[in-house]
Amino acid sequence: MNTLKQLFKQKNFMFKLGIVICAAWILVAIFAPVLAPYHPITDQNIANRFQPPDMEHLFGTDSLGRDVFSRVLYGSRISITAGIVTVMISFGVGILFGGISGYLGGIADDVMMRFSEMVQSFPPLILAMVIAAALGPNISNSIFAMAIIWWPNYARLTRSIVISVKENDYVTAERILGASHLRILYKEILPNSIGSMAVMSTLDLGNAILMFSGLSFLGLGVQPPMAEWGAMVSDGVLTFNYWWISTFPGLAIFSVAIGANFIGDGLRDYLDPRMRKRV
Amino acid sequence: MFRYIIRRLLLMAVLLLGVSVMVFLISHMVPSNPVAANLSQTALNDPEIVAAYEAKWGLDKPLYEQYIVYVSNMLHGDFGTSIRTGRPVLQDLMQYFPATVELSVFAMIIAILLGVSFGILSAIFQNKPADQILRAISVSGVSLPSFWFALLVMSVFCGKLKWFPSGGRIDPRVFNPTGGTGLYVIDAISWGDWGMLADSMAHLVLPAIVLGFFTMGLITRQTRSNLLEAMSMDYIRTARSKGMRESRVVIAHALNNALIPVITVSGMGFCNLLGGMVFVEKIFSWPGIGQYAYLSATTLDFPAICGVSLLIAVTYVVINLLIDILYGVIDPRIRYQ
Amino acid sequence: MKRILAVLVTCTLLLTTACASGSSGRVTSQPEAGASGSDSQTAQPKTVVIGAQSDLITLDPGNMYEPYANMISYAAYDMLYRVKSGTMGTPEPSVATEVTIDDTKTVYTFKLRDDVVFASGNKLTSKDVAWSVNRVLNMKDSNAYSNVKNVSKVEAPDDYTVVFTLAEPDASFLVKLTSNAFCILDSEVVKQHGGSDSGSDTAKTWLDTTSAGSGPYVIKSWTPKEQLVLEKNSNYWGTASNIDTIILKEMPSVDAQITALQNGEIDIALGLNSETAKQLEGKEGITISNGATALMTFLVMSRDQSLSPEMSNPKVQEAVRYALDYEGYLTLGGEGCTIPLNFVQDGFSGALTRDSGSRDLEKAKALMAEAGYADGFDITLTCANNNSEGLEWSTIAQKVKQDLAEININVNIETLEATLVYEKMRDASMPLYVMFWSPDYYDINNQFAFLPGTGEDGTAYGNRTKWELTAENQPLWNLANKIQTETDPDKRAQYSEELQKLFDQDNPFAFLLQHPKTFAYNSNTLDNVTYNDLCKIQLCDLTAK
Repeated sequence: MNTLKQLFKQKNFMFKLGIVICAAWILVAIFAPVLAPYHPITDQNIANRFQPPDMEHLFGTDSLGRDVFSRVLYGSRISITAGIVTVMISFGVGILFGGISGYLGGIADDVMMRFSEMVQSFPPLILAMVIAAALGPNISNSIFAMAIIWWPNYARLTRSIVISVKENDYVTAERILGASHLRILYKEILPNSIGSMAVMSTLDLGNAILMFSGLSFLGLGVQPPMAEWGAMVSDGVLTFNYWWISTFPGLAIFSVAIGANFIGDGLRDYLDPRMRKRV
Repeated sequence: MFRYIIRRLLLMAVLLLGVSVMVFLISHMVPSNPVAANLSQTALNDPEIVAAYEAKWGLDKPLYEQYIVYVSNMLHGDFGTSIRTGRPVLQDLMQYFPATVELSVFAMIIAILLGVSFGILSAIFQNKPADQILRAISVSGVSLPSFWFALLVMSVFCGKLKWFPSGGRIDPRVFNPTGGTGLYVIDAISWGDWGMLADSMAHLVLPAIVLGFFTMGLITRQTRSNLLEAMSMDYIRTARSKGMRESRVVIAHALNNALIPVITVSGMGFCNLLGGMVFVEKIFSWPGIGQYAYLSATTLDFPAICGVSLLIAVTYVVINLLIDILYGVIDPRIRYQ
Repeated sequence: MKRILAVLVTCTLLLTTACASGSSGRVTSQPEAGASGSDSQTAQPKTVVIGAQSDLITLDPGNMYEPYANMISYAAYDMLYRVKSGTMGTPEPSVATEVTIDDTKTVYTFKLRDDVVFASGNKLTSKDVAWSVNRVLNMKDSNAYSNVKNVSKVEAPDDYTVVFTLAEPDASFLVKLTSNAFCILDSEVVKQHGGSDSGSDTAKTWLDTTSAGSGPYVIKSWTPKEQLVLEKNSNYWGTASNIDTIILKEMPSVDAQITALQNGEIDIALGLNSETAKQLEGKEGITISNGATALMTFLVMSRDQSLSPEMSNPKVQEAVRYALDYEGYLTLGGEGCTIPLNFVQDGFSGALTRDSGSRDLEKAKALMAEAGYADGFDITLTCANNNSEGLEWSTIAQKVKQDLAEININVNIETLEATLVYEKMRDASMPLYVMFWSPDYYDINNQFAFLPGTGEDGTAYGNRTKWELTAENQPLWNLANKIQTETDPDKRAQYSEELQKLFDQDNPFAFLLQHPKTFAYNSNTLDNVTYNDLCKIQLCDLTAK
């Protein structure tokens, strides 16, 4: 609790801004049905399509005459969830894989790390496209595809932390005293790695939201008529003279990503002790 | 060092074999086949045409047989023929790769120049307004969806302001460069054709900025934090206590050490560019690998997907190797085992 | 710091020397300064740049089938017959001067012009015609093959006479002759580059880089997905245009095409639709134009009960046709769209259109009740990541979902990569999907692909929907068979109308739209920009101001 207080006491304006932005979006996601003036899917009105922003439709209307404002609000639910779930899966898989690899060492470590390198050297978008094409595009498959691309980063980070902790005298001492592998992992290694992992995952959250919307932009993300930001930007691409269709969802993606990055940056500055000295 | 490079290259071969197996398996997991993607609706209904087509591309053979044929051809330098374009994959890749290399190198130059200078300024003015602004820019860099940013930049700078040409690599009315390296900037310089140089640079600016913006953000961030870290070191304090000016402290002492990790980030950023490439190339009509990869993936053109993936994997590995070697050259303390 | 610099400098030096030694001269279409200075009035070459997303994958006329294939083949090659300007598919003699058809309607004897020369200077004779057709007949894996398939043999009794013998009578044969499958190649030249009329042809690679025809232009260079350069054929036998070079520039982004046209970087923007074209409305010197196409978008409803007992019910399928808000689809499609009554497009013999106000929800609900589904059901609507002239199929699907909700059908949309959808279409494994169709040749005969019939002798969509040929729908084929061989246009149109009305009573489709092609060009620099769905912009007519 004390650390949290200290965290907020920082003179870092952007960190606070990031918290505000993200909190606001999370609230929007939760209360979308209350906030949105129209239904994002069923309120079609072909006669009223391509209306520029006015008091009735704050962000204008799209090609089927739906309210872009309501769709942007609802879109937050999908994008934010997808981002969080992707990072959580990569986090879990990465920590397990990297932890085991670093802890075991030797040939097992070598093989496991080469495998993760192989995955990393694979062009991410092609992998995602092929997976999405193979399994059919929908939210869970896109998340699956992104998690496959992301976990090696966490695995490498965990591994390096595990190796450095493993060499510590107190860990060696505990092992001699007969502590089980699990106990060492749980008691010593996990607490040491959680800080850097937190930084990495908040920074990645922004990336995950960007990539997810990118996949949707290419038609590999959500299924219509669901409101999703990337897909909404692509709706506006063929008709860029109706700028509002793609501009507002684009801004939405940008603002969430920037919020997550501000938080990640702030966390890093705070958790890195050398940085803290000067803050 | 020599042994180290050999070891890395051997590892690369294993890695590529792994990548090829993976592409092959994944692309054959797809419950579809290229026949549907490459024949017309009428032809698709004609068993005679379909059978002839499948036989021609070996699609009627079992999977392992297709793979063995593929790998053995690959070892002879034959990457197969693209089902979609009907041309050798190697020929396709050689046509599109220079365009992509040119664009990504320029994007990297912009990213490094801007990123490093922003990072330095940011560190010097730590926590002052200038720092806040520069950090906001760098965070925007890593937060902008490139597909949307590209559209925005194009509509403003080409559509409204008309400052730059709206796509392609060169004005086809005036230039039709053939027989060079395919890197138009280099070709123009070596032919001494300054008009062509200016034209190709004008076409490069916007896509390179859009593409490099993300990496610029990464580099700014890294440079700033490295510099701050270096500046808290003892030897810097000594320099400062000797009465050196702050800017001189930064440039003469801190920067040299701070830049080394920046190289790593740049390498990562370079590989990251390929992700944004698909969007940027499409919006700026840039005939490069990104578009080729996208079309190959969506038409399930196995030989082309394998070729592109291998090319990107090789690029990734080679860049990482170069970076590791560069480390050693810059910092003699680093040793290779 | 110094070390970094040293490394960088060495790298740059190495790179530049390596590249400089590799270059082999430069080719530009810019006139040499000296040449244009002495003769400035006439030497200024006229270059036209067309911006489009062509997706051309080959330039070999024996292999092409992409939408823009014939734009190129009409510029570089000649056929016996060509499409008459301003019509959708009406053939007019080109290299052929006259034709005689025997009583069996299977032997066509053509007389050829004797003044046609290839770009190489060789004379075009009947043996070139026979050779070119035989070449395609032996390329069975080619998309062009289906158009020549019915030819059982071609003979050249003398230099300017060609005799085609068909396997079966075919009233659309002259129309088929207008397509790229029947381009006449310079056989002498192509043979030197691996061409063969008896199988094992290897000339495709060479034909992808150049042309060997007798058209007004020759293909000078092609870099796929980048640009295609056509240059005036100096040996052209007809009246040449005043344009020296035509460049087809690949621009996958419509916005890029629009800005480039406004900035004068390109002269024609081909990839527009009625919505995107609005950005160019009222702009000085830019003309927006609409051309008729035979491209249709429609819903396919399978008759296969195992896929969906509800959706396969003919009554439900009829209800769907009544429940669709045709007015709405017309708005989505934009200016110039029409609604075909069913499988015959506007422009083809006897085509009928549907009244846009023909939505009748009461009737649709009654039909649903009659079928026993008054309370509705759930169904998956598959749509590919694809568009018809810029109208996204996913937009259409969302409108369909909304429309069918009115008669209690709950539609779940599933979008897939186009290739997957085509594969599933071939397997006939989707109960309901959005699809489009553009004919391979511009004749109603091509449209019989929508008639019932399954199995080996079935039709394309008969198989895809499992719509079986029964005694009840046999009358459809009786009419179709008459149309297939009837050569009198009036009688053909009359049969065609009868057929469409009969078809309308029961079929597994809902035809939504026939799309126009919208494009824009710079009217300060160009004249005679004519459009035809087969060859798109007719490059041979194009003139510079």
